[in-house]
Amino acid sequence: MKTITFSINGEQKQFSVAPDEMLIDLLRKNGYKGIKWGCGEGSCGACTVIINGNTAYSCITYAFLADGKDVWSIEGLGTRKFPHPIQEALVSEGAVQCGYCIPGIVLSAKAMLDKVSVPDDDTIKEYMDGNLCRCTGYEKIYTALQKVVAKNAEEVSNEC
Amino acid sequence: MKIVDFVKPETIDEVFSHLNQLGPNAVIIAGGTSFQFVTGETEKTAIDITSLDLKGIKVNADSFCVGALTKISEIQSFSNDGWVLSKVAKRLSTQQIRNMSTLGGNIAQVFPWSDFPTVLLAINAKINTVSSEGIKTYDAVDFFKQQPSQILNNKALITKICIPKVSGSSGFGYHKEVRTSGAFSTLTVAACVSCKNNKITDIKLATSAAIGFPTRLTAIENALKGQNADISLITEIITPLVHDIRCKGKEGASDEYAAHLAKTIIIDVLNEAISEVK
Repeated sequence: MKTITFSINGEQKQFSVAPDEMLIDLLRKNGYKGIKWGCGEGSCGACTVIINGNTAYSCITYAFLADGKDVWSIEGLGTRKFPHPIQEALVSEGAVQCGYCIPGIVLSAKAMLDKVSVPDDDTIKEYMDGNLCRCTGYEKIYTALQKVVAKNAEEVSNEC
Repeated sequence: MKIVDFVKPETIDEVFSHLNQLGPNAVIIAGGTSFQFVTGETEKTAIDITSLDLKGIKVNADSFCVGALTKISEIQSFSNDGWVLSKVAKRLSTQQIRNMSTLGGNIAQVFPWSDFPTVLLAINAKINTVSSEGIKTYDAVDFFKQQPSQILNNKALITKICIPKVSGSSGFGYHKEVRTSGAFSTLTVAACVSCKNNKITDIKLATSAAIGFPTRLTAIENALKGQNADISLITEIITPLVHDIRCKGKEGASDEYAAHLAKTIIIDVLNEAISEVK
């Protein structure tokens, strides 16, 4: 075991890692259970985390690669009382069914909106193409994200 | 493969020191996305090279210099006159993989998900490597003559890739045929065509997947050089030549279907490249 240090949800922490340990396993055993185990081969997006502002599949990321990085999991975004605007939009649009994919979807959407606050439809599809949802057929998720984008666009135009 | 230890060198010299010490027990890791496909229980020490200063895209007068550790997503979002790699990056797997994978990793060994070797062949990129013996520059056509891992041989690192600007009298075409957006390619075709007075003066056409290891289609290139840049004439010239190409159907497709696809896509890609010529 070796010790690595990285920031998780804004808090600097030390972790003891095995060389072949994946980031998902390290984080889940340390309490970040919002990160879901799905395909285990970097396809479905249930295990998505944000590393240095970009989404990554934690199921195929060796934990030691997180050393020195800034990592965000779903636990770092909003609370039950004060949900993140993306979470709020997903709920109000009825875009959540079983919910297993939702932490990954919220994080992918957040990473996208942090980079492009008013993405066009193609950009939304590009940024969200690594998250599968087997319940909703994507339409409601997409509508919820467009709602957040519309709100951002309104804020941008008010600033101007 | 089982990772039994990891080290994180800060300089290229430190990387070589680890490689010398560990020999075949070392494995270099940058994005790490291909490791999940490496089976077996061979024990390796991972050399994490993500701290090396090999990132970013530098704009030169007639080329771009891409650091080997540049992420595919940076290639996707970069924009500049003559830059053609965004459309390739955009089609590679999913956003998470594009955020994790590096250009160096995509070409250090040709895997079924390596989209860039075909494109680098078509635009005649140059690949720079460094080893304890010094710096070497390879034309893409030499670098991809064999598995690049045979050149690198756990003793050399790719440092940068020089990408020529494609603009003015040259155009670029690219197509990656897939069953689903995140799937591996069933057929990839890339072409760079230069024209003068509506005549083809230079052409580089490369393919991979159904047609096998990334390669230039020199017979078609030679047949088209000097010809009018007219797509019906091009179709007429290349049809018998495409028949000679051996295609292997992937993902449930028959060889016959792959051959039909190859002909159609090669024509489409040449058309796209020619239509970009100003």
